[in-house]
Amino acid sequence: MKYTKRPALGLLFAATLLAIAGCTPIPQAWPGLAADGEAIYATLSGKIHALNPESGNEMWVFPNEPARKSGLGCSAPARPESGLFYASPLLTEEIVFAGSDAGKVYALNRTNGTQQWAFTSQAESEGGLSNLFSEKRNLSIIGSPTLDGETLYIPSADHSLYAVNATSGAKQWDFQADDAIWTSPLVAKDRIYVAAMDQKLYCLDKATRKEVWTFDTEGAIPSTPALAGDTIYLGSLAQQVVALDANTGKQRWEFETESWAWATPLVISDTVYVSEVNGTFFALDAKTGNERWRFNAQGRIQATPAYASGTLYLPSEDMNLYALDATAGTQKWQFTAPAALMSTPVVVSDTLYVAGMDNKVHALNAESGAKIWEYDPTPEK
Amino acid sequence: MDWLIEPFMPLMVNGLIFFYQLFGNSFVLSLALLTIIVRLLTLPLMLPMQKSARKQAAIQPQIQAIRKKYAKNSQKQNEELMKLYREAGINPMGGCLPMFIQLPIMWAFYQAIVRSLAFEPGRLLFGLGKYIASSAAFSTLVPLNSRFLWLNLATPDQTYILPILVGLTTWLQQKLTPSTATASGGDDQAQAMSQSMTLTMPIMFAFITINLASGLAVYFIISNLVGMAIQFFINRAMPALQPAASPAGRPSTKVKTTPASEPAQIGSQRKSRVKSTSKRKGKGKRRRK
Repeated sequence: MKYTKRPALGLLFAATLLAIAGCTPIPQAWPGLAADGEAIYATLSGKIHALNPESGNEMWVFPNEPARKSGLGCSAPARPESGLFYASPLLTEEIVFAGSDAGKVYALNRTNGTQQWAFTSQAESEGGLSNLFSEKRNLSIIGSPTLDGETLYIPSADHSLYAVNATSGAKQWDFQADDAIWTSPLVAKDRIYVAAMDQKLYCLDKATRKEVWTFDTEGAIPSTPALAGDTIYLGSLAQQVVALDANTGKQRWEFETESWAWATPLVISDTVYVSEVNGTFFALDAKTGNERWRFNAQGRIQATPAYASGTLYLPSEDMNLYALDATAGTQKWQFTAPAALMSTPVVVSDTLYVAGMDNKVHALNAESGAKIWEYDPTPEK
Repeated sequence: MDWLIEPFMPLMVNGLIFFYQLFGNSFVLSLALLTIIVRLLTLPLMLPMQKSARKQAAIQPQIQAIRKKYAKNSQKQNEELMKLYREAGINPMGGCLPMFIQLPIMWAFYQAIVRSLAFEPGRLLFGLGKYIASSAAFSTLVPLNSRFLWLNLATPDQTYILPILVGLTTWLQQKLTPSTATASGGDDQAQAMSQSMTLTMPIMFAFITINLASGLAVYFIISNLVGMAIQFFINRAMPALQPAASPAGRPSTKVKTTPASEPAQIGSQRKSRVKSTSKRKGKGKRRRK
């Protein structure tokens, strides 16, 4: 035993402390899916993958660059310059829009993935020394953009909602919340509803951009509100789901959950489906908020289920995708994936697509749950 | 490594957020108080390390003598060293074990800070949500206010002020902490290595801090300051033992003649042991005759 043991061990202690802290296997986000009859678009960590819906064959990948090597240890993971894509892409007939944590929204050609334009979310700065000491905001684009006519509404973690021209990417105006905006704005008629992590739901007039009303949920809002008729349904980290009058912002009812109500509520007919992250899924009366039935998964539920032909497709962290009867809440079948399922599935005709936390995309028969194909983006293609 | 820190994580995260609420949504004050608490709670684990270091410093001359004497017989060297440690009341692992026991606590605290400052959806849900998603009182506090002075505690400090302070306080803390090599007047190589470490560690810490969330840098600074205060009181309460005199470079047989003036119990124990060794050797010679 050398008598320089103390400093040497101290160094080892410090290095291990830092190394292990940087190696925590906590994912930053989850995959996103968008699909129609022509293609499936999946945001899998740092890239957007376009897949053939019939075969699962890759059509193109953006950005089309080889993976970069990691830095020292595991505290500096490889990441493309374009950033990591968190949210589901938004599709139009010709363009795929997707936002990244590098503060960029890309408009890509649907056919070949070529970039049409990119918008960069950037909080205004004065520059120089004052900029060095000014507030550093996270610029990530976490929620999907929303398209309304020629305007693309982009939520940003830099506290802004940007309105940009969907054809050119030129900024038209922006709205500032008091904290990050993680969710897609909801645009309906002449109103824009913006939920933010500052615990508020803002209702803006589309023409004047002025606040019509705000509703304080007392909990951060990580998901988009749902609108059905003249009622807005909204979940929050305050362990509650509320129904609001879309015109006035007045609360109609409140349903208390036992943990964070993260997922966007889903409204089908007179039932609103909500979940809490601890794994309980509820069917509520849309008018009163009274519980009709509940289903318990074995893992966390963060994503909104998909719905088609009377069946709800509910993904869970327990690696299962549950097919539930939307009326009775009974389980029809379940598909077990190799990894946690935290993303909203997509149903196109009789095929169900779901992506796991291992970045694999699965195509299933929506009736039986039988697997049709699986897409694995690794090794790098 | 999750299994190692998981038992401490709920306490650390909830503790951080409890104090955050108590101090009017100030993350830095919460961090400071919890750092003091954690450092004080781990003090009983730190004290044996300090005692062990001091005792080792005191017997460095004997260690050196044994090393030189049995330079070519490592087994004998180890036996003699173990004997010396035993007589001096030193557990050779006594210095390391408490450090390794502390590790999970420190990692958990480190992780609690990182997870509490989560600003990505995955990290908020899987990291912080794991511990507080069911807490009605704490859920409304999310996301935590990460503003402090010019800093966003969740992101690195671009001014490099914090990394410099981390390096400086790490260096100061090391200067306050007695090193076995320097305290004992160990050989040149050991002293050089010790001095090199004293410089390397602060630089390494400062360098790593550049890319870490500034909340962690603030934690390092607070932890170093608290560590310095604790060290100050330890140094006062636990004065350094005088090294046992054993002229360096002399033949190992000289160890037998360790002066009677050798201070403390350790010295006298060593002396008696060496005497008995000498007797045994003498007997051996007689037998051979």
